Formats: sequence, C-alpha cells, structure tokens
Amino acid sequence: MYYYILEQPKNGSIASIQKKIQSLLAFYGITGEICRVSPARSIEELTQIALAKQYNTIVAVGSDYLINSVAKHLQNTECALGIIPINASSYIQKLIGLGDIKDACIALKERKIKTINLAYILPDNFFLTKANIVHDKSTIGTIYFDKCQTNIRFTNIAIYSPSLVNHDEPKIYLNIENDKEKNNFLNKTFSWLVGKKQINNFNTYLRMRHLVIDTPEPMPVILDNKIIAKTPIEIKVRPKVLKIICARVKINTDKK
Amino acid sequence: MFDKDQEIGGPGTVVGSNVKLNGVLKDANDITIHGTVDGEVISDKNVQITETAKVKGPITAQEIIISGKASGTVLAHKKLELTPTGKVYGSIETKDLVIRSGAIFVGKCKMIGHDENQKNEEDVTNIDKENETQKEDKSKDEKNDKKIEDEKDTKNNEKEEKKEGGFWFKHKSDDEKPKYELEK
Repeated sequence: MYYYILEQPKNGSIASIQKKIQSLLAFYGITGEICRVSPARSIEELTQIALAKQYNTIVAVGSDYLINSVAKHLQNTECALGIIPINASSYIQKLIGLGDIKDACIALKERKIKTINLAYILPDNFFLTKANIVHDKSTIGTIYFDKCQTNIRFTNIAIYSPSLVNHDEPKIYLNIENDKEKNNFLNKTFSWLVGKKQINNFNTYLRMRHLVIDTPEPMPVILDNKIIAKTPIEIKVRPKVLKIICARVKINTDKK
Repeated sequence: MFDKDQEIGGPGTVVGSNVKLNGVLKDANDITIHGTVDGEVISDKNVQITETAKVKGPITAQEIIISGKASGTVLAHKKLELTPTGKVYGSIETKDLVIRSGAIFVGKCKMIGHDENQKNEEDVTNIDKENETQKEDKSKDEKNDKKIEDEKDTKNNEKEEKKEGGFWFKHKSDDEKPKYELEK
C-alpha cells in the first residue's frame, strides 16, 4: 500500500507535473492515498498519519527538502521510502539511480528495497543528501573528526551523507573549499609572472564516521535553501537505518 | 528534473595546502597531502606528499611518493619514491626504493621481503660473531703477555734485592732460561 506526500505546487508547471505523475501511477497500477503538504498539515504530521495507518511505503513527491524531511521520520521503521523527484538535486538521482518521473514510477512498481546509511545531526536531524555551511567571507572553523583536529579557513563546507557515495562504507564525506585563497589575485599574478601553472590545491576532502564543526559565531547549516541546524554541530553516521526503493540495475543486452 | 551534477567525496582524502592537521589521519583509500600533518598517516592504498606538504610522524601505505618534507618512519609495503624535491628525515622501510637526484634522505634504510638481503644479513651477523671471537682471543693473549711481563718484573726485583744483600746473579747464557747460577 502506497501513501503519497506531494509538495504544495509553487507554480503551474509543478501542478501539471503532479497531474502527470498521478496519471502515470494509475497507468502502472500503483495508486494509493495522496496527500498534499499545506499550512494546515505539515510534512511531519502527514508522515506520522501514514505510519499510524500502517502503510508499508511512503512516497515523497517533490524537492530535496521534502524527501529529507520524510526520510527523517522513517528511520528505524519497517516502512520503505519511495521517491519521485520534482526539481530535486542530482544527488537524489544518484541516490536512487533514476532518470525521470517515468523511471521513478517503474521503480516504485518493481519495489526493489535497499537499506542505507544516514548522516545524523545531533540532537534530532537527519539528511539523505548534502548539507552546506556557506559564508561570503573566509572564516576560521575548527573541525574535529575521528582522531584528528584541524583549524581551517573556509568559505564553503559541503557535508555529504554516506548513502550518496558508497553504500558499503558508512562514512560522511566532507569537502572544504576556500574560494578567497583560490582566487587570490597576488597568487595568480605571481604564478603568471613566474610562468608557473597554478594548481588548485586549496580544497580539502575528508572522510569520517564522526564529525564536529565549530565556528567562532553560529553559522547556519543549509539543506535545499532551508536552515536545518546551526554551528556548533555534531554529525554521526547511523548505519543501515532507512529502507529506500531504488531502481533495478538494467543489464544492457543490445548486440553491437 | 535535476540540477547540475557536482563532484562528491573527491579523489580519496586530500589535505589542502592551507590546512594543518593534528592527529591520526587514516583512510582505506588514497591520501594526498598538500598541507601540514602533525601525526600518523595511514592508508591501505597510496600516499602522496606534494611539494608544499610537511608531515611530522610515521607514514604507512602500499605505495608512497614524497615530494615534500617527511620527518619520521616511512613504511611502504610496495614502493617508495623520493622525487627531486623530496626530503626524508627518519628511517625508511620498503620493498622497492626510488631516490631521484636532488632528493634528501637522512636516516636508516631497510629493504623488506628480499631473500638475498636476509642472507646478507646472516653473513653480516656471522662476520660480527667472528670479529667478536677474534677480539676475545686477542684480549686473552694480551692478558697472558701481561702476566709474563709481571712475573719477569718481580724476578728482576728479587735479583736486585739479592744484589744489594751481597749476592749477585749472572746469566749462564744469553738464552732466556729461567736457570741462574749463584756466584760468590
């Protein structure tokens, strides 16, 4: 039994995509209860209602924020998460291995379930894809991870959920960028005068199970243009906590 | 439906040139260091220390390429390469070693996993043992010589004492025979 949670359409095009999805669901014979997020019914309330009604699949139809919010409430339950992305990031595509709406509907029909790892922001936040800490000016932050500690100057910290990269390795992926140093005029000029090719070695990529980020001033942690937490934050990996419906691997049988 | 794709995770662990890390840096994948690491670096695959990098602490990996500065024990299970800008202050242990012209290496080196090397080591230990036995023999001989000299000295002293007392001794022959003839 499927329970569909649709985002409130921001414009006419999204409303037409939602109509198209409904007709596709009917075509593939996977219709179910359809609910829309509204000021009267939040994502959390709708998910709790679906769990109370004992649906075995809740399908999030919408953006990254909706998908992440539904996933947050489904961890450690028997209920599987289905995804039909609308204006979602490429990370969702990578996560479920889907191309378009039709593929998503076919995947829901086939119902191939896998259990994935989630990134858990203490005390009660989860994310499936990617969260960012962005600042216009270069800021110093202190990062503690596993058995390491570093003070680093950054303009952007991207935190990737373990499910995005490697399903077997339960690790959070961290990309730290410093655009100010990368685009430093003096460095560029010096390299040009010396005739040396400028190599971008300012980016840092780290992998860890446990992460603490602290900044002198509280900075927002952003997921899909919405603030989900503020620094200092502690992030851990919760291994194998969410059941998700993903695309079946297609074997290419075309003869050359 | 989706926005543009971005790079996720990057090529293994990379420490940027503006970063100073303290602690144990451990990864199952490749590690590239452009910045400074104060502590141990462990990888199940390869470690690359670039020109701008400084590592203070042991490094362990399958293959290691050092173009920067490394202080501490370097253990490469397969191959270790020191490029012309590479500097290593500490002992290295590897199976396959490449040191390019211009590189600096101050410390001990041990080649692992070679039978010939082990044989050589055995030979070296045997030579050492022989040297030790020779030294012991020499010291014994020296001791015996000393004893003989001491005995000679004591006998000469007795001779002089007897001379003073009205007796004197004379050698019967030039040979060093311990026989003396008493003359009045």
